[in-house]
Amino acid sequence: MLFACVYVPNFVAQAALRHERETRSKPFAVVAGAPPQTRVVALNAKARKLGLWTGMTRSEAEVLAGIQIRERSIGLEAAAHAALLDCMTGFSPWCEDIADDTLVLDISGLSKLLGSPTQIARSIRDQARNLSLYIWLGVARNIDSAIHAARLAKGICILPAGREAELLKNAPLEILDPSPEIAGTLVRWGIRSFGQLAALPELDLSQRLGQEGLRLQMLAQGRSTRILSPTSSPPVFEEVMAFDDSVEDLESLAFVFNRLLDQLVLRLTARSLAVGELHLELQLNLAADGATATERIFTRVLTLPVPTVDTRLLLKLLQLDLEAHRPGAPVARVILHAEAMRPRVIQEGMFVPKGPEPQRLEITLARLRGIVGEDRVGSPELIDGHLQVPFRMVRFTPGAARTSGSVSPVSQTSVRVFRPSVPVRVEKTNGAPRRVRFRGVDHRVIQASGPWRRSGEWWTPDHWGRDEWDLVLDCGGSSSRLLVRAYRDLVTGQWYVEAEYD
Amino acid sequence: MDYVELHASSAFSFLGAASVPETLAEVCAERGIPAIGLLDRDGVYGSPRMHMAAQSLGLKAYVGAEVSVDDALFGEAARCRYPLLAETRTGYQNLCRLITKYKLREHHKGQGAADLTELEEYAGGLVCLTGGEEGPLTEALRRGGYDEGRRTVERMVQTFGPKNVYVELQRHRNRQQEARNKAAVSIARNLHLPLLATNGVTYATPREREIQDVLTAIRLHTTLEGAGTNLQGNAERHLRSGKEMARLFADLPEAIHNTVALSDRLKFQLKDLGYELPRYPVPQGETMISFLRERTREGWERRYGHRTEFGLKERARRQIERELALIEKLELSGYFLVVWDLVRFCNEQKILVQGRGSAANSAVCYSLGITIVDPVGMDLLFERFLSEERGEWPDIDLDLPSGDQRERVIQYLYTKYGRHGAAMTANVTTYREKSASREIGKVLGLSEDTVSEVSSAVSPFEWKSPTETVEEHFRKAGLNLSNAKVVKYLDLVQRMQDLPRNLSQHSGGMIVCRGQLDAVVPLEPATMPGRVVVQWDKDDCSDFGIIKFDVLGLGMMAVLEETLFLIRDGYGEEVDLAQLPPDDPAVYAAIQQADTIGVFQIESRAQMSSLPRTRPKCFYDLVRQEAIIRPGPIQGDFVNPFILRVLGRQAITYPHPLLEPILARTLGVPLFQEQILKVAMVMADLTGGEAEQLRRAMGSKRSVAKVQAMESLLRSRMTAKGVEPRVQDEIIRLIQAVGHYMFPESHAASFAALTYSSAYLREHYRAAFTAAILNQQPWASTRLTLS
Repeated sequence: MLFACVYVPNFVAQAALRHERETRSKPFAVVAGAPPQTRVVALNAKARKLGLWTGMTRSEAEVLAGIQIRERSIGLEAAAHAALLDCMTGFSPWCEDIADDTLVLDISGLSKLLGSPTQIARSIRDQARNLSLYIWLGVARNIDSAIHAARLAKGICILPAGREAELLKNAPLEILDPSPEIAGTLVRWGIRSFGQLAALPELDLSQRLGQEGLRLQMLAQGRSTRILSPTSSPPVFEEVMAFDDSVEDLESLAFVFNRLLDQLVLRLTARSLAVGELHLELQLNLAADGATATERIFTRVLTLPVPTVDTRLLLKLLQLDLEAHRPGAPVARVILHAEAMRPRVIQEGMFVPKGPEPQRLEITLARLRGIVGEDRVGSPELIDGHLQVPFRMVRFTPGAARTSGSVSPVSQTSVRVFRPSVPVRVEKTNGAPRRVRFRGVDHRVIQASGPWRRSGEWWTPDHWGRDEWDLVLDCGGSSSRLLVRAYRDLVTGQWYVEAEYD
Repeated sequence: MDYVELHASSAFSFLGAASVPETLAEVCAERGIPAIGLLDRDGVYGSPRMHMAAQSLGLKAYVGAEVSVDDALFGEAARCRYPLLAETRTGYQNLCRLITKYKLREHHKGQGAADLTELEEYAGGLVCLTGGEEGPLTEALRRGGYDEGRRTVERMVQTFGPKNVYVELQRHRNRQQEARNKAAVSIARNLHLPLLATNGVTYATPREREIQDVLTAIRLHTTLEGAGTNLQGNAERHLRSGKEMARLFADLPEAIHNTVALSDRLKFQLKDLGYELPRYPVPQGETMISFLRERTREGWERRYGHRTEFGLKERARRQIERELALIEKLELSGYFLVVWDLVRFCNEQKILVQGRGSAANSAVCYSLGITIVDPVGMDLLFERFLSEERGEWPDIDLDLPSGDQRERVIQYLYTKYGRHGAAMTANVTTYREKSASREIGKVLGLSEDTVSEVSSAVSPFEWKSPTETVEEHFRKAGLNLSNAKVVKYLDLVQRMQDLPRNLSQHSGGMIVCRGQLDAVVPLEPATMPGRVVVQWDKDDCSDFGIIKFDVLGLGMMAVLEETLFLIRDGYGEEVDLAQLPPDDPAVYAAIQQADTIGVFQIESRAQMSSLPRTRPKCFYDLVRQEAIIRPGPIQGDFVNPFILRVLGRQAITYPHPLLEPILARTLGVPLFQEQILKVAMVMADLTGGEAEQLRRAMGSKRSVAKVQAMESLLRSRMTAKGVEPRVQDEIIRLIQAVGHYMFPESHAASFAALTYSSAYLREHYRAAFTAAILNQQPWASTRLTLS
């Protein structure tokens, strides 16, 4: 067996700045805690050189010029960890999630694909770099030694079999994570390294520190019987970015989307998956001038006709959607979540005309939706129910099989429906319409058929009822007639013309 | 203009229509409709109640049904319902036989259908309408247009005859329907058939369209949202007055006139059923009454021959003579012989059997061995069992050991009278608050949690305090009664109460018939295999003179039977329950000490707490003891006064001197149903019919409401007699107790006999009795015996 341990040093800091490459080169610190006890929890080397340390207060840190301060974000850390997990799963499905900053892979058998352990480790490191994560790697024949090697590595550390104890002898005891009592005892004894602990007499050690002491000694000797427990929780494909200053214009947001989409697609392709649905969540700054939004969280969902890993397409669709549905306030934070699906392979028929490319079609539909409205583009689908509007718009899918409706023996006549219905004034005689004032013109009713009564949804507040009439209206002139469907709303008493017959 | 609604369905179409027959009749009367044709789905379930309701309002009720038919060519795919009206008794009999035929072969309940050949076979005496939405003409027009529609109507004419087919037109303000109507009119003109206007009624008033939709959703196991176009498109299928129908069919007045013409043709009324009791086969030279007399005489010798009480045997002889004369006059000898034959079978098969109920008032029944209570010795009223004035059939209940023995008896009846000659009575399950709230909550799309909360807030007991209203239960379940959806939920639950839900089998009511029972009322299979049930419940059967008797399983009978077997087996003794020494001191001593675990009817905590105070010393004390712990005496607050009077701590008084003869046997406190009836008759001069109404209110659903409805009548009569208001209040209070259940005296006597038998066996054969009780438990896996 061969195991590789991936360790992300200064994980909190790396997670906070994963999408801010520019800031990484500057001194920065990550703070956490409720004010006034907000303290530095992570910082980079440049900040340390300037005199910052972990635990100092935020106000103390801010005194120093040039320091970039970031709030600690659990969301960013979770995204970073998920990204790392996705990346590692691309190498081996046997991957155990030890901690937020530590993963262990079983890389036995990868030699035929990637070469020697060093080559394997380099591939892993390079892949992690694509995700903006800088990792240390340890490779050993047992899990614990691999973990210790990674923590010690400052790069890549390969422990050949049988030489674990020798190569780890100078490793500090803190890497073993002993309990404070045992750590204190060992320090009092002057034991500070793996090698020193390994050399202690076993019997005496067990008498003084018990089984826990023996276990630590075994680890210090590079021995371990631990078994890998692969992580089985379902992957979450989500990327997060927060801004110091909220972003108002959509072009700037496009850059952010692009970056996040790249990361998402990278992670998905590592698992041979694609984006089936994209969920966008924007946290808005309602306090900004000119903000018109009333809710702090703005969400949009893009459902794709075909799963895709085309970043350009995804970006375009996001942009079109946001143009049609503006957030209404500057954006303080972006969360992009992808619902993963298996990519679909579509086999077109030999004699079936080629349809439009799904991606281009989707963009066209998105443009149309931006113009006419979200629920006004698609295919009409009849709803089985007694409803005022007995149809809904569903996603346009070219080439989909038509649903067969019931065959009515009554000949069907086309109507052109007015949306909304046109209010009219009606004069009646013996209950039937006699004159109708429609679009400012008085019409005599030549013929009336009805009333045809419909009502429904009585169990909801939207209950409705109407008496419909089919009217032949005289438009003046010898052969000028208009055939309309009018109705009287039984709830309000108002008359409307709903449609004109062809 | 006169108009008759000839195509209506009631809630007895079970989830197919929304109004009970009584409501339909009331609305007909309000709207001036003189007659109504009730055509429920695949049966005549609601016809008895429709007939009774119509009769009380001076209306006529015609009988028919919508019969499911599978088309010859298209089979189940073209299933539709043929509306058939019975013109003559032959037509009614044919209708019953037709429905029975396909019902008895259906694999799943409610899925059976006739085929066209059977329709032809049973067409005589029936008038066929072309139907509405689910009728054959609509189905044909949908399937193949005008030509197919015409062919279908031609076929109907061939089946029923040209004078017996009416082209039905319904106008529910629906465009597609009107297009079909045009086709129907054209077909009618071409084939020279009369048009008939109906409204295809499925609810009495427009408001009940909501209930109709709810029932549709329940039937389809979906929510109102999900039911789609299966729901009503509007609220037009209600009862319309003649004026409204005339306006609707102003262009076709003949369609309205024809409803009256057809109504005049329909001669059959449900009271002309043609039911006859089976003729019992008697030896050559004998008649049924002579045979009955001889069997009774033999029994009289056996029962009274050894009795030493002064004059008892002679009194019994005179009583028997009186009863036999009445039995002969009412031509009921066959009924008694049927029951006697059944008891004889049980005795031959060593199956314990005992008659109870009002039959225990009959000396003939006692002599025939049907009952074990001596009514002469106990001075019970025969008229409670059989009365010429009441015009009702007698009702004999037979208690049998529960389990296989009872099933053997039931199967004996099926074998003896044939599959179409015997059946069990039905039981109509109606919506109660719990079931209604559960099902309506689901169709409204409420969460399972909410539905469960409301349902569990309802008490499982039938008796409810005045504060236990539906509204209160909703409040307890935490629902906001100002929320519109909750208001609608509550409203629907209240309106659904007592609507029929489905037909099930009565636990033991059986009817037998001379000839074919399926020509009297349709039969259908019960859920239990090997059982057949009629489409009417026991009240409907009783209303139309169909004699029934109950064959009931009693756990204690099984225990007694088992005990006798164990005694025979273990002690080698033969114990005859009919010959037990009466008034055994040891038995009564145990009873008085409430040492009654396992004893029939007096082992409950309430009984055991009262026994040391009432201290029964003789058989009649046991009879009274049976009656006191019942809802009626408890609700009426009779129990404590009775106990105090037994203990001598309260004076025995009577609300009115006229009541002393009635209440003396129970120390001035009414304990039995008959006493309340007699109180009402004596104090309020109730006629036989009025007393009968009160008696019927006792055992029915909504009995409390029915008794309360009689209060004003009772008060006015008592006022006329000069009864003081204070006394009237007390009399009303007594009478209202009968709205909750009270035992008839004979019933209490029959139960007391079982109580004594079980107490005796327990006292003298403790081991056998205990083993028998344990053996009869449902969880008993091994059988105990005495070694």
